[in-house]
Order: sequence, then structure tokens, then C-alpha cells
Amino acid sequence: MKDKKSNSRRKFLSTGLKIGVATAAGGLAAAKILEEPPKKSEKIKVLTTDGTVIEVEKPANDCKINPCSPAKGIEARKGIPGRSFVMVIDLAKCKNARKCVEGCQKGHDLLPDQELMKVYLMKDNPESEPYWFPKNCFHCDNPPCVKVCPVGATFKRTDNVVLVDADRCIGCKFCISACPYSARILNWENKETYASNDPDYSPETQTPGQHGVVSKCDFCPDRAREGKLPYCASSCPMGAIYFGDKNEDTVTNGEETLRFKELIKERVGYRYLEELGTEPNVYYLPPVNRMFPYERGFSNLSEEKKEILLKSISKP
Amino acid sequence: MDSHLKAKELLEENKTFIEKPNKQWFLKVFILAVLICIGLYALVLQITKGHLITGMRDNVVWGVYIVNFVFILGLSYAGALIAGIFHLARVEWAKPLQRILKLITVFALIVGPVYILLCLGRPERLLNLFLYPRIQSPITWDLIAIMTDLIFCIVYLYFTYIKDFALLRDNSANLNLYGWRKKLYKFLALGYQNTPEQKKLLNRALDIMAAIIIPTSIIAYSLLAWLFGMNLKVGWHSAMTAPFFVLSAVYSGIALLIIIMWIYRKTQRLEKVFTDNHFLYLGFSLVILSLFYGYFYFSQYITDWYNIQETTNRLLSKYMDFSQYGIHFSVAIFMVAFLPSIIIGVPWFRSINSIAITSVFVLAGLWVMRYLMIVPVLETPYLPMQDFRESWVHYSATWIEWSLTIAGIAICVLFFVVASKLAPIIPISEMLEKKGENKFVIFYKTRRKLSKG
Amino acid sequence: MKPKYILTTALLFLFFFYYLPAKTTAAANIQKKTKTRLKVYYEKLANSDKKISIILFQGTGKKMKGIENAELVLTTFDLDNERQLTTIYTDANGNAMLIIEAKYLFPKDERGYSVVKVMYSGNDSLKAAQKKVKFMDLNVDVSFEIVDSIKLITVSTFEIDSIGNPKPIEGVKLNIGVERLFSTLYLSKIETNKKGIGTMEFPEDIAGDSIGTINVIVKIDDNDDYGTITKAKKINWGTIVDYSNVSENRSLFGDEAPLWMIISVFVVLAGAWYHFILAIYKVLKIKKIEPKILNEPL
Ligand code: SF4
Ligand code: SF4
Repeated sequence: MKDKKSNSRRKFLSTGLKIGVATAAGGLAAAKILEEPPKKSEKIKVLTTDGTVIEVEKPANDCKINPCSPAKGIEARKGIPGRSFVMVIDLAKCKNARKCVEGCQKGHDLLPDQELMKVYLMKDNPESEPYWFPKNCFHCDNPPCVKVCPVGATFKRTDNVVLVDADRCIGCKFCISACPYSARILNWENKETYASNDPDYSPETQTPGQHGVVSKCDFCPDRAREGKLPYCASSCPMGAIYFGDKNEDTVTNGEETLRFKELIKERVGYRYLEELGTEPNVYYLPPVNRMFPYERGFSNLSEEKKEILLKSISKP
Repeated sequence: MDSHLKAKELLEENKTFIEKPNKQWFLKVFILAVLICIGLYALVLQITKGHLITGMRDNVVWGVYIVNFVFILGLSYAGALIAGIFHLARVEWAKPLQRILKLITVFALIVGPVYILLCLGRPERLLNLFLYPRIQSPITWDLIAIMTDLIFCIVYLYFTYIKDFALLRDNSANLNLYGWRKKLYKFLALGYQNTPEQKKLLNRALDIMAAIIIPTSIIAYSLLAWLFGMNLKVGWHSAMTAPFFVLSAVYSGIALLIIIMWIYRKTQRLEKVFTDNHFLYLGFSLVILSLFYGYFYFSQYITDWYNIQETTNRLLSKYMDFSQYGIHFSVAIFMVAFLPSIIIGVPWFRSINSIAITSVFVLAGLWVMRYLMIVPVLETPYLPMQDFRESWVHYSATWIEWSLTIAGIAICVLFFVVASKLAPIIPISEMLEKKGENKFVIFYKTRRKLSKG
Repeated sequence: MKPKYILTTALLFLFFFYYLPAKTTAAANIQKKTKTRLKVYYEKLANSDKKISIILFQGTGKKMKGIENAELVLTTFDLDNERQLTTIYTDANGNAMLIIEAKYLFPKDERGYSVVKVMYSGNDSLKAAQKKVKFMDLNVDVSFEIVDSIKLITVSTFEIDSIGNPKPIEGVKLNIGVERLFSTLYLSKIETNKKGIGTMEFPEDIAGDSIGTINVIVKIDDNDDYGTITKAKKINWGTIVDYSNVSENRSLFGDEAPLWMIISVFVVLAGAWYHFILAIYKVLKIKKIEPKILNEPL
């Protein structure tokens, strides 16, 4: 229920910078453990100059963006000032590990078959080799979904994020059919796990949404406030998903931090279906010099599913 | 007076219609009520269990509900449009059809939007449409248009009833009616006594209403078409959408008109009112409209087909593929684009019954065509469909959707059954007006000027 | 074996390991004790406080699992005397940390190293573990200057000797970068020279905020002697990013509708409703002029 969810969010809040610094220090193996939010130890010990030990509260303000808690009401529609979030997905690194999908589902309390991040198998032309194509919402700069919403339940913010206000959405599904990238899903089932009427409600943490309303990838702005990468980017074992702020001209996958413009320029980054004029904020690096053959991606799929995928990319 | 006598005659002839209902009438109502109740049960299930029990899924988010919505509203706008044009153009032979057309308009306009509510994930939040309106959204346009149109059409319908209410009020002594109905007629007739001034006022009001109803319904239906046209979807975002929608609406409206006329003629012996000529005239307009439909369809698809693009190609091949929508498509296009020309166009086939049956086919075909313009398009996104759950990839409506569809039709029919009990299904007084008797108010002055010059 | 049996065995196995030991005699489970490991890191924070971070865990690789709520004893060595600093407890993931204020003086050995030893005494099911971390206290200073319109970052590294004089340290590898929202964007790696000084030319095209401020990060990463040291300093050398008008050309999907749309909707509606009201007015007039003497009935 909602409680569980907001708790886990709050836990993330309380973790903060100290852990972040420790992660940086601890190297990779340590990072894997430290990633998880600790449950206890709200206090830390400090050895003072004269050798006595005192306990201090963990500094609450561990976040990178003020205010640290997700924005509510009218503020949530404005966006984090000065930010312009972008994502870069390196197709050469993707091997359909599906960790981004799982990380997103776990972080957003989704049902097992609800995928805000999907991994497609794509094939551009009959001669080219198929490749794996992780796809979330592109947070378009000219979003068709936002244009058509009758109640403004889905909106574009100045930080590039396109969000859904699950408290306002009437579930007309217009935005789903307007989105050319199949990025939106509806909560079809009348399940109690869907949160509603939470006083802490914020569109920034609207997932898993409520029954009968739309959900979509939200670029995890609540995590950005804490200086954390979105769930998908931080759970990709290959580091295929880079996330960052275009205004800072920086993207990172957690291990490697690169300059956004240089990366797109050098690796000839492109945006999917650029010709539609939606101006996505998710860029792809072409699947050249791949790290894995695409067949590797079938390893966690059944034979039957493999057939379906292969059939769907063969031309009619 | 001559007209006075005729009015009485007409009323006398048709009085079984409006007199106290008999058992048969109640049986009809009962059957309809049962159908409606099944629909209500389905509705309750849908609300409590969620939309998962419908066939709609993330790709095909709009199914039979929206098809019904589009189809029924099409009938409504067509009714208004045709009635308005017939009225303004003073088409003499069309006078008996006026009431049916206006009833179609109003009833369809009431039932149609219900389907969009069924389609909403959170219908109880409908108020948000007024709390946070965004007029950039085609849904808001549609909302405004439907509400405006609904108010206009109900009022227009009532205006056209005034003379008949007055007639009923004055003749209620001769009719076997409940007492409350007499009072109702008196109230509704607004004290209309057919004095020259009253007549002039009423006629002017009717002309104005007819004149504003025509653009309103065209605009409203175009807005509805843009509900689809404004989506970045292959098969929808075409400039053709709105005109094509309006054309199909008129087409389906005329087909329905023929069917209703035929039913009344067969069951209520109204041969004198709905004459053979009516069937022939409307039958031929059906042929013309079918050709237009074929023309529009052809020009839309030939351009798509020649400028073949990947996604368009995938969509079109679904219509051609007999394992997918091939059969539906070829049968439906045959029914809407060719059948009228064959059955009504060739004298050998032509008869009152064949015209009516063709209309049934046309209506069914148009429904299927609407289905084909909505569902396969939604099943053809730009990205490949790689969902492993079959029901997520291909839409098929569940019994919930079907029973609610039937319930919707049942409600429309029920409305008709009740309305034709309340007042004659033919506009008696209007039919008695002599040709050229009421002047055309809108171009009145112009005509005088022209004739002077 | 069928998966069912494997599962059952595994469950039994788990049961024995986790529940039974508490009830059986201590002697019986000496062999069953699991090995634990400690990792200890020393770090000097940006405000010169020192930090010891510790992970206590069992297993390796994917099976690695932090040990919760374990008592750790931290000691240091003053010459050869062991001196207890404090005890701390691990959190749910086996992490623990101690912050040491900048001015706290650690005892040093003859080579200048300070030592912190972490001990875990184990329990009924877990073996004890201990680990030492050795470090030297290095100071890092960052300064900025512009020479011939070239922006230079100068970093000096030095130790403070026992009398309080700075002693330059040569050959320290430093990473220089700028702070970003999610991470640090490293620009270059430099090494200090004999004077303990390293310089770096700052590129012209690094994006700052709306007034060009950037936070320069100098970092020594996991140095054998000095641990991890971070130093941060702000300067307005970044390019100015203007983001005040970001939503200007987004009117069609903004919260406000474009003017032409409002006007046309208004005009159309006004036109229609004007005529509608006109018609209603006419009909209502019918009632008003109802003749008192009955006309002939219709
Ligand atoms: S990808 Fe789809 S849902 Fe996301 S912003 Fe673009 S149009 Fe909207
Ligand atoms: S489904 Fe919700 S978010 Fe989407 S257009 Fe409708 S009201 Fe807006």
C-alpha cells in the first residue's frame, strides 16, 4: 500500500550524501552493498578534537536539490529550476539483461507485467543485425501526449520531465493513443496496491498510480533531488543507460561521467523517430562495435518468447 | 376549415399510436428493460473489477465503446444536419420525416456520450473537465460541442413539437388518454393558438434553430473526427478525417432513417405517410452517398498506399490479410460502397423491402468500417508489438462490451417507443402547412431586394 | 532431483544454519561458524574531517551479505599501546562509519602513519574478524588564477610535520573535475611536482549555472598512503547557461491555451448561443401573446 511506498521513499531520503561519499570511496564491490538503503542507524558517531565521542543526527539535508522532498501541487508542475534532464542509451552495451526493467518495477512498486521501461528487439532493415532497444518515455520537448490531455493531468515541466498527475487524470487514454512511442500504460486492474489520497502525494512519485489512470516513466525526479540516478540507469549492469542534466552538459551511468554534447557528437547519437517532430530527450548511441552478440539477449527468454520477438521484427 | 378537418383525420388515423398503451407495448418495454439491465450488470462488474475485464489494453486503449460513440454520435449529427437542411430548403416531401430525424438526433446524442464515460478509467472524475479545462485538447472541444449540440437539439425538438402539442391539447377530448397527459400537453403547448403572430414567431424560431443546428453538427462531428486526427497515428492523422467522418455520418443517418420508416410502415401501417416515394428518394441518396463514400475511401487509401511507409504498410497489409482483418474489410467495404449501387441502382432488384434491407447492411457495414478505422490502427503503433500476452497485442471485445453495446441500442429504441407514445411520430401540423406558406426568414429581405432589382 | 526436493533441502539447510545454532550448545556449532570479512576505508572529507567507513559482510560476489547490528571496536596505536577510540554498530547492510573531526590528533608511528584497527568479535554463528587501515594525513590546497587569459587551477599537496611546518609532497596523483548533479565530471589527471604543486588549464566550455558558477572538485582516489581525499572550491569560470525562458515556445501544450484558440472558440460559441437565445426569446413570446379569446381549435 501507499505506506510501504512512501516509507521506502523516505528511507532513500535519509540515506543521502554520506552514503554517496562512502560509495565513491568504497569502489565497485562496496558500492553494490552500499546501494541498498540502510534501515537503522539514524545517528552517526563523531570523534571530537579532544578525543570524546558524541553522537549526532545524520544531517537531514543530504540532497543535491532544494527542496529535497518531491514537489507538490502547483510546484510539481513547474519543474526543478535550471535542470534539463536527458538520457543517453548506449545500444552497443545492451544485452537484454532486463535489469533496468526490474529495477524500475521494484522502485516504482509496479506489478510484474507493468513495464515503464521496455526492452524491444529491433531490426532496422533486412540486412542489418537485430539489436536490443530499451525504451522508456522520451519526455519529448514537443509532447503529443500533453497536447491532447483535456484536464492537464499530464504536463511538461521546465526540467524536461513529462509527468502524470494521478490525482487529476480521468483515464480518457487519449494520451496513450497520442504517444507515438507506446510509452504509456493504464492501471487496468482495480488493485488495492495502487496508492490514492495520500497526503504526501506528489506527481513526482505518482507511480504506481491509481486504478484507472495512466502511468509512465517519470525520469525519477524525486531521485534526482537526492542526486541519485533513475532506477533503470543505476541498475543496468552494463552501464548502458546514461542520465544527466543537459544544462550541465553531463551524463553519467554511475561509473563513467561524460560530456553530453561530445558524446552525442562523437558517437553519432540519434533520437528515435526524429522525423515525428516530437523532440525526444532520450538519445541513442547506435549499436556499433557491440559488446555482445544480440543472441546473448535471448538467454533469459523462453524459446516461445524468442519466436514471438523474431517474428515481430521480420517484415510482413 | 380544410386544414382543420384534415388534421383531425390524420390524428384520428394515427391515434392508436398515442392512446393508452396496450399489452404489446408493455411487452416491448419489458424486453428492452431486460436488455438494459444486463448492460447495467456488466457496468457494475466493470466498475468494481476494473477495465481489465473489457478487451481494452495498453495498445488498443479504445475499443467497441469508442466505435459505438463515434457511430451513434454520427447518427445524431446526421439527423440534425439532414433535418435542418430539409427544413431550410423547404423540401415538401421530407416533412413527414422531420420528427423521426429529430428524435434520432436527440436520443443518439444522449446515449452516444455514455460510451465515452464507459471508456473512461475514472468516470467519477468527470468534473475535472470543468475544474481544469484545457481547450487545447480535442476532448474539450468535443465536450463543448456535444453539450451545445445537445441543448440546441433538445430545444429544437421541443419547438417542432409545440404545434402538435397544441393540436393534441385541443383534441384531447376525442382521445383515450390519461388525465396527466392532457395537462402535460396543455403546459407544453405554451398557449399556442395558431394566430398569425404566433405562427410567425414560431416559424422564425424554427428557421433560426435549423440554421444554427447545421453548422453546429458539422463542427461537432468534425471535432469528434479530430479526436482521432490529432493523434500522431498512422491511419488517423490525415486532413481527410473530418470531411470523411461527416460524410459517413450523413450516410449512416439516411440508412437509419430508411430503417425506422420501414419499421413504422410495416408495424403501424403508415403507408400513406411514409410513401413509396420516400423510400425511392432516400434510396437514391443512399446510392449517391455510397459512391461518395467509396470515392473518399479510395482517395484516402490510394494515397497512403502509393506513398508507402513502413508503418502504413503494416497497417494496410492488415486490411488485406485474410487471417487478420481481410474478411471484415472486404465484406464491409462491399456493403457500404457497392451494395446500394447494385440493389437500389439496378431496377430489377429495387423494392421497398430491398431498399430497407440494404440500409440495414449499410448501417452494419458502416459500424464495421468504424471499427476497422479504430482498432487496427491502434494495433499498429510505430514500435513493433512485442508483448508476450496475446490479449495485449490483439483486441477482442468481451461480453461486457457487447452487452453494454446492446443495452445502448435498447435505450435508444426504448426512447423511441416512449416518445412515439407521447406524441405522434409524424409532425402532423407541419405536414398540413401549405407549400410556401411560411416564408423563409433568413433570406427574406434579400429575396425582396433581388426581386425588386 | 526435482526442484521441489532441492528447495526443501535448501530450506532445511537454511533452517539448521539460522535457527538451530541458537538452541544447541556452543561446542556443537564451532565448526559451523561462518567466516566474516571487514572492509575499512579511510577518507578525508571536503571539510577536512576524516571518515572511517566500514563494511562487515559474509560471503563474496553475489552472495555477499552485510551483517546487521554488529558491534565493532575501533582502536588506534600510540607507539605500541593499543588505545580504544570507540565502538560503533553496523546498519542493516553491514555498513558503519565514524567521523573524526579535523583537529583530532592521531598518534603517528615513526614513518608518519596513523593506524585504525577495526575488530568484530563474532557471535554464536559468525567468526570474528579484524582489519587495520593505515593512512597519512595529507593536506590539499586549491587556488585559481588567470595567467594570460588562461584559467589555471593550482593544487598543492603538503603534510604538516610535528612542529607544524608544511612539507610539500611530490608525485601525488590528483583528479580534477567539476561537481555535477549525479556525479563528478572529471576533466584531467595531474601529478604534483617537487614543490608539491600541480596545475591544470581549465577548459573554456564547461557549463556552469546561471551565473557561471562551478564547483571544482579535486580528488585523490584511494591512495595507498593517503586514502581518499576530496577538496571542493567554487569559482565562476563556467559558461553561463540561461534557462529562464525554457518554456517559451511550448505554448500549444502549456497550461495556457493560445489566444487564437480562445478567440475562435469564443466567437463560434457566442455566435451560436446568440441565435439560440434569439430563437428561445421568440418562442417565449408566443406564450405572452396568447389570445384570451380562443381561436378556432387546431
Ligand atoms: S514519449 Fe510519449 S509519453 Fe513520453 S513525452 Fe513523448 S509522447 Fe509523451
Ligand atoms: S488519460 Fe489522463 S493523463 Fe492521459 S489524456 Fe486522459 S486525463 Fe490526461
